[in-house]
This record gives sequence, structure tokens and C-alpha cells, in this order.
Amino acid sequence: MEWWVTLILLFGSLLFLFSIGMPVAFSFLLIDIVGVFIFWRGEIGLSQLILNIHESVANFNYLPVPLFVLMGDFMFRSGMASKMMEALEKWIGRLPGRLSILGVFGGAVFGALSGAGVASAAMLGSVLLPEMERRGYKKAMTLGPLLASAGLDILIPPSALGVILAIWGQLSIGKFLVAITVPGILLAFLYVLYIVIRCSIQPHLAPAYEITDVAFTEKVRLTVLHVLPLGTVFFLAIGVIFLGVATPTEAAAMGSLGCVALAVAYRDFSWKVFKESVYGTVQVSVMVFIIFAGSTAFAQILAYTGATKGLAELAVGSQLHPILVLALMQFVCLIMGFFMDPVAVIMVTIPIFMPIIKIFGFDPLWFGVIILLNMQMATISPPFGTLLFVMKSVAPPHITMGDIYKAVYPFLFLDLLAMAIMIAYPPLLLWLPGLMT
Amino acid sequence: MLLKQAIAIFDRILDLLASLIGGIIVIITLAVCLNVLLKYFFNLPIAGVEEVTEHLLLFITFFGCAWLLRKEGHVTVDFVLVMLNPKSRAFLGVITSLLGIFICLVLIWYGCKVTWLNFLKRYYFPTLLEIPKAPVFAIIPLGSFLLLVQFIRRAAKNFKEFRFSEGSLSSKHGN
Repeated sequence: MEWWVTLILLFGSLLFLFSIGMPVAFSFLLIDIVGVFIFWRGEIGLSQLILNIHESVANFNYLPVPLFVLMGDFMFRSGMASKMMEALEKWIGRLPGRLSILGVFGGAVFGALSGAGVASAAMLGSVLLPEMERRGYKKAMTLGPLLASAGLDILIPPSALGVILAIWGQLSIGKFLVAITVPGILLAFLYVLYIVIRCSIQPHLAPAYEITDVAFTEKVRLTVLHVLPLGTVFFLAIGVIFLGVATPTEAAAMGSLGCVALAVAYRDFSWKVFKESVYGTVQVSVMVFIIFAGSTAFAQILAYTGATKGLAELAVGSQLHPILVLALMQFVCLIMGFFMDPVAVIMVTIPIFMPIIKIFGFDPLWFGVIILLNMQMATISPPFGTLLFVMKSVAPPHITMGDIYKAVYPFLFLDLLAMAIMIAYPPLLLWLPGLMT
Repeated sequence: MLLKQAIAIFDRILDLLASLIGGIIVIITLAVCLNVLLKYFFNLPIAGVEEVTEHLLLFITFFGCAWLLRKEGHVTVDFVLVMLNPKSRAFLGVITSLLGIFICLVLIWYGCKVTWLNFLKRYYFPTLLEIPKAPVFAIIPLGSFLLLVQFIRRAAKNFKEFRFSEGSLSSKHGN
């Protein structure tokens, strides 16, 4: 069979199964079973598939996925994160659009603490949105900033999706987590800049209101009390990876333990919250690992049948400019991201894109970060971005889906801008992980 | 009556397994932390933590799978599903469940074959702890069996909804 026929058949059936509502993991497994039977000598192949499934899941390096989820979930549910946000609010002062800016800070903070954008969107939407409306903020300055910042979660370590992408693209998890920090911060900066400029030009979007002055000492007290300890845990999780003191797995475990210890110290610890977080972690872990079990063999089949190589040769032979090929790949990811869960997009695209990237001499780390940025966009892209629906569900009834779509476009444009900067100037992204040994 | 009891017992098993998996994740976290301390302060980590953890990840995956399916918690692409009426959705639910049953049967059959072979030849992992391979591989057919039962329940549930819901197999606005 020609490689391109195989490729179309494999992908066609996979996408068909996805679209009839077959869970992603089982779609992969079904294609694996059929593919292995055809290409790997029937029954021998199927026995081999069992061994492959074991190998694809039983890997110590995958442990940061559940551990980071546990850490974030627990910190989020225990209420420590909202106290941290209250402390941060005191520092914003009288900037135009201060509540929108607080939303961006909140998104970044939750992002640093949790691994799930859905939780951030629900939290920001239900806590900040009513307050913003009460203060007369217009939709462009409420829905947009909150959604975009909730999406930041994917880009700010520790990001579970980041770990998944690193594993799947065979990148160093530690370096990758450090690398995504720069675009995360850049985006937060762009959002804040946009909010300040737009609110200065159109003050009616975010009317200024009286705020009670908080004494400097009080600000410092709140910061020491509520920001510093969590900041320390965050350092435990990411700083030690950067310094090369601990592996991502060790860092994630220490981070989780640190969170629980902090909750106990704050007297925020409850067994109920802890149990909920553990169950949440079980859910995410099973969900991700069973997809690994199916997608590993899928990638191997693609490689074995020559489909991966064929596509790579086609890309090279096409005489297209490398940047154009790169843009094309990002475009494919973005379109898939409109309809599919980011995990599924990553599982499907990385195995065929990474070989092409290597042939063109691009840095895989850099490419991975751009894909992750792309997935952040996908979660807030109309019409199907997950976070849009989460926002709709927590927003007051008078807000329509149309309002949400309209409010999010400027921020999508900022995302595109950030992506263009990353593509045009790779060192921006690579210097930080480059400092690691 | 008997069927109802069997279902209740099955549900109980899934709940217990989910709690067990939660416990395993907590224990792994503590073990890794303990190992970090032992490694940096005494240069004497507990041997085999990594090895055991790796096999536990397989356990987590396959013994949590049926529980997650009962919650309908697996990642699914639903942009087509949301455009359909309940009857069509139930119809697709039956189809995907049948495909799921097929997957489980294959995994059970070949999982058992691989496990049996490794048991007969007394193969073990060539690592420090020399864990025998058969019980580890057995996780796959055992977990797949639970998943099989859950897929059968899912098929039955969707079939019932398909038969008793109004309308035809068309889009939401079709009737």
C-alpha cells in the first residue's frame, strides 16, 4: 500500500471514530487492533500490542502528570489560591481596568497552581464577573480578559498538558516546563498592556471607582501571609527543576506535599477537600494514561507503515519555505483544536510533526512550546473552545454565547501576536531552558 | 433480582477500586518524597520505588478505566453529538459501546495469552526486584474484563434510550 493511502486510512478512521463519539482512547485502541493485525503479521502483532500497552503506560517519567494535577487541584479547592488573589489585588492600585487586570493576575496565579483551565475559568467567572458587572464594566473588559487569563493556565507551569506534550514529543519535561514560562508571562504582559491602553482610550468600558487605601504595611503583611508561602511551594515545584536539583517527578511530589502542609498550617485543610482532590486526580490520571496506552501503538504503526517518513519527505520535497510548513502545521493544530480536546490534538499531531520539524532543523523544544500556545488559543476559540462554554455556564443569564465570542477576539489576536513573536525570535523562548545544565 | 444484585456488587467493586487507586497515588507521592529526602541527606534511597511505581501506573490505568467509563469521564470529541437529537445520540452510544466490547474482548483474549505464556516460562523483569511478568501483564485482561462489563451496561442503557425516545434518526431540528 502506498504510504499516503495508509495515512489517509488511519487518520480518516480515527477522525471518523472521534466524530461518532467514541472516546479518544478507545478510538486509538480500535485502530491499533486493526492496524496491528494488518501490518504486524496478525496474531503475533496482537500479542505484541499487549506488551506495547504495558510499556507505554509503565513509565516513571509520566508520574508528574498525576502529581501536578493533585497539587493544583488541592490548592485550588482548599481556598488558599483565592486568599492569594485578594492579597495581590491590594497592589494593583488605581490602574484603568483594575478588575480586568486582577483577572489576568488571577489567571496567572491559578495557572501556576493548578493544571486545569476549566477550574480557572469557572473560578474567575463566578468570583470576578459579578463584581465587575456591579462596577459597571462592559462585556469587552469582563468576559475577554477572564477567558484569556483562564487559558493562560496551559502555559504557566506546572501545566499537566505541558508535561503530556513533553512526554509525547520526547522532550525534556524539566526544560519544557521552564521554556513555557516565557510565553506565559509574555502573554499576561500583553493582556495587561491591552487592557490598560483600551481602558485609557475608552474609559466607559471600565469605569473607575473609589477604592479604600490600604496601608503599605498592611499590603506587605498580606503578601507575606498569603503570597510568600504559596510562592515558596511554587518554587519547590519549578525552581528546583530549573536548578537541576530534582527531577520533575520529585519536584511534583514535593510540591504536592508542600501544598498539603501549607493547608494544614493555614487551617484550611479538610479531609473532604483532600478526598475530592484525590478523586479528581484519579480521574485525570486514568483519562490521560489510557490515551497513552492507545496512542503509543498508533504512532508506532504510523512509523512502521512508512506514513511518517512519507509525509516528512513530502514536506521536504515540496520546496515550501520552512516557515510556511511550520505555519501550515500550526494551522492544522488550530483547526483540530476548534473541535477536539487539546490532549487528543497533541496525541494525533506530534508523532507526524516532530520528524518533519527535525528534518527542517527547527528546535523541537521551541516547536512544542508553540503548539502549546496554539492549544491555549484553541481552548478559547469560537465556536467550540471548552472555556467559552464553561464561562457561559457560570456567567449571569443575560450574557449570550455571542457576547462571549465577541469579547474574546481581541485576546485571540494578542495570542497570535505572541505566537508570531515566538516564531520570529526563537532565542526569546530558548534562553531560559538554555541556562539549565 | 439477581441481575440487580450483581450490578450493585459490580458498582461497589468499581468504587472500591477508585478509592484504592486514590490511595495508591497518595502513597506514591509520599514514597517519592521520602526517597528525595533519603537520597539527598543520607544518599540511601529505597531501592525499587521507581520499578514498583511503574507497574502501579498500569494498574491505575486499567483498573480505573471502567470506573471512568461509568462516569462518562473519558475524553470524547462531542461536537457532532451535541448537534444530534437524543435518539440519534443513543444510537451512536450503542455503536460505540459495541466497538468498545470488541476492543475489550481482544485485549482480554490476547492479554490472557501473553500472561499465560509468561507464567509458564516464569519470565521476570530483568531489574533489581526481579518482579515476575505474569501478574503485571494480568492487569490488562483483568481491567479489560471490568471495562467489558461496563461497556455492556453502556450498550444496554443506550439501547433502552434509543427504543424509548421520540423522534427519528436525524438532527435536533429534524422533527
